[in-house]
Amino acid sequence: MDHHQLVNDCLRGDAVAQRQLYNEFAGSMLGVCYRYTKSLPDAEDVLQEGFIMVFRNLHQFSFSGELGGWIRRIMVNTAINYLKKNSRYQTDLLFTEGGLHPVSDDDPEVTLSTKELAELIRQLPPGYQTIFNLHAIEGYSHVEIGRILGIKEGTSRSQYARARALLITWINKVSGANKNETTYARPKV
Amino acid sequence: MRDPKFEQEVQRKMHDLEFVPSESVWAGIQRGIVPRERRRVAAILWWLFPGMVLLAGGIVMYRHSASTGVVTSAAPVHGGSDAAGSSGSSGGSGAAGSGKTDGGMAEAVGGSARGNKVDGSVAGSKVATRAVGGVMARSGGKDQLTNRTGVESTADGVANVVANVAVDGSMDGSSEGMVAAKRGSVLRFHPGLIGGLAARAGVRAPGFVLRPVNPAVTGIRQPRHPWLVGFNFGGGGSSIYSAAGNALVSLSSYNNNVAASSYSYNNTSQPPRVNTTAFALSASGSKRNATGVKVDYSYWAGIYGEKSLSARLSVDIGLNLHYYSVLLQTANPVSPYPPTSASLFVNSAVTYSLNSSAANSANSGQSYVNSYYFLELPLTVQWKLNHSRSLPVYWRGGAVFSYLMSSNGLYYDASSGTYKSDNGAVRRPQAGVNSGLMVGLPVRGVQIQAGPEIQYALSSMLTNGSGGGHMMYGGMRVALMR
Repeated sequence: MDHHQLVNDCLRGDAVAQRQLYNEFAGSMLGVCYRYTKSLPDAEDVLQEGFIMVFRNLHQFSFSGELGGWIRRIMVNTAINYLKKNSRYQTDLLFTEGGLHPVSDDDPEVTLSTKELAELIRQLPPGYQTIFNLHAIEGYSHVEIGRILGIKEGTSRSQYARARALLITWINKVSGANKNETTYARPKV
Repeated sequence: MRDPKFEQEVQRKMHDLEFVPSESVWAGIQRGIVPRERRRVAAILWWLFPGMVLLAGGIVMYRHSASTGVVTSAAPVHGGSDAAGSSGSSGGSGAAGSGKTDGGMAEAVGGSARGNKVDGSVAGSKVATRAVGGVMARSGGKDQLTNRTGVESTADGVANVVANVAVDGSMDGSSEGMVAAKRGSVLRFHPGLIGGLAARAGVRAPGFVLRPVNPAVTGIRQPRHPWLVGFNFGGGGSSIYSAAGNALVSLSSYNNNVAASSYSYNNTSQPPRVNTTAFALSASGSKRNATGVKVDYSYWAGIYGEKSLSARLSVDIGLNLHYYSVLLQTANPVSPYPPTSASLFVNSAVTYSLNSSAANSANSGQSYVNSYYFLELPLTVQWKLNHSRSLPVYWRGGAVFSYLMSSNGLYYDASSGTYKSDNGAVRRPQAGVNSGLMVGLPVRGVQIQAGPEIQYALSSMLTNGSGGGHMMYGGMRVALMR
């Protein structure tokens, strides 16, 4: 699919092209939204808002990068705004200024399926979940995360370390490969 | 970012994560685009209706001004006033004065200034007609050229409108009409905005065929700071300021000449006081002088569009109909001296009022309210002074360009010692400045601003003479925006 042509068609107002663009990216973008939220309806709400933003700002796409990456960034930003605005997530998004929590050296092999892993990520508290998604999956640095979420860089590092450790524990439990006996309690946020 | 095996694995798996969204998501996306379109349509309707009302009101008042201008006596008709004065009653002024007053009016109408005014008003109405035609023509042009809104124009109706304006202009014989017709025909071939907007609003103009518009089409390109529209209105007091203290005093050489000739012609039986009467009046103990120009009430209403340039700065442009009035008071009582009452000629109604007042209370001063209707175009910059969301405070200031639509203003001619109501003496286009301090009120759903505002006309009120003064206004402004 020539995305350049597709975008131009969308900008000309071709409804078929708009639907085509949606069909091409909706599935994967719903996966992105799903990782940031706690339920599929919430994820679909984010997806909807995100695609509205995409269509309204499509003229700003400069073709300098991947269209999918551009849409993905919009989805991530929309998801974060959704979490900030939605009262259900606000209490858990209050990031505590925890002390330095070193990142575990555990580097287990992830044998879980994609959806099982996604479910575990979604089980993380929203604060952990957001930082883990932004850092481990989207590749944002802690400085950027701090700027996006309005927290200190150290807080982001600390929260990520806790989230990572917790997730590894759960992965080990689920996969039955609980090799180390370290018991991780669910950190209190 | 740490990039060990764990993060790589998670990243790879999560990039493969896909779900099939429900069909309602796409429907929601379409709905999400449509409401902004509907909001824009509502905003256009919000703008169009009061705009049309203001335009219609302005045209009506402008025509009214032209028709009453014929009745108004511009020249100091001493002859007629002598007769009326000798009769000494209101009935006398109506009957006895009518013959000579008519003569005076006929002379005035026949004069070049009055004649031009009548032609000008007719031409003005043509211009207004042309404007409507031009708008329609523009809309046709846009639709034909771009076809983006899905509106198709047959353009015949538009051409007819333009042609009618052209015919009217040529029949009228006035250059304005012809220019208007030409402009209308030129505009026909240029893409316009209003037609497309009207089409989106569902307004079916003559000669246009509406087709269903795909809402998804028009919702993509949206400006980041769209224009918002709203109503605003206000009220307060107005006055006329003159640093020389001679507000509303006209010293027209033309009027002096007319006064002299008129007097000498109509008063052959009187002692030869030509060229001295006016000065005698003003010099003989200041028997009458426009010393009292006092504040009277003023109010206005209009529509405006606002565009945010940044979080704190915005510009707005509006269209207002503004009523000003000032209270004119003669400092000294009207003297029963014959030329004195003669000099109070305005139109028949005002003459009756002033003369009867003079007859009934010879030793009291008289007052008269000068009214002005201006069509104003304010261009204003608004700056948010604080960071409060609940109670923002704005300073606003800018320029106001206005045009006098109608007036019954009474002016004192110090040279002839007369009061007269002559719209020709007033400078119709005016330019001024305004400033105000607005407070945003926390009302859900509607943005409301209210606060004091002042306005000052930089241009003089009268077209000639040493006086005239500058129109001032001060009052409260309330702005409503959705």
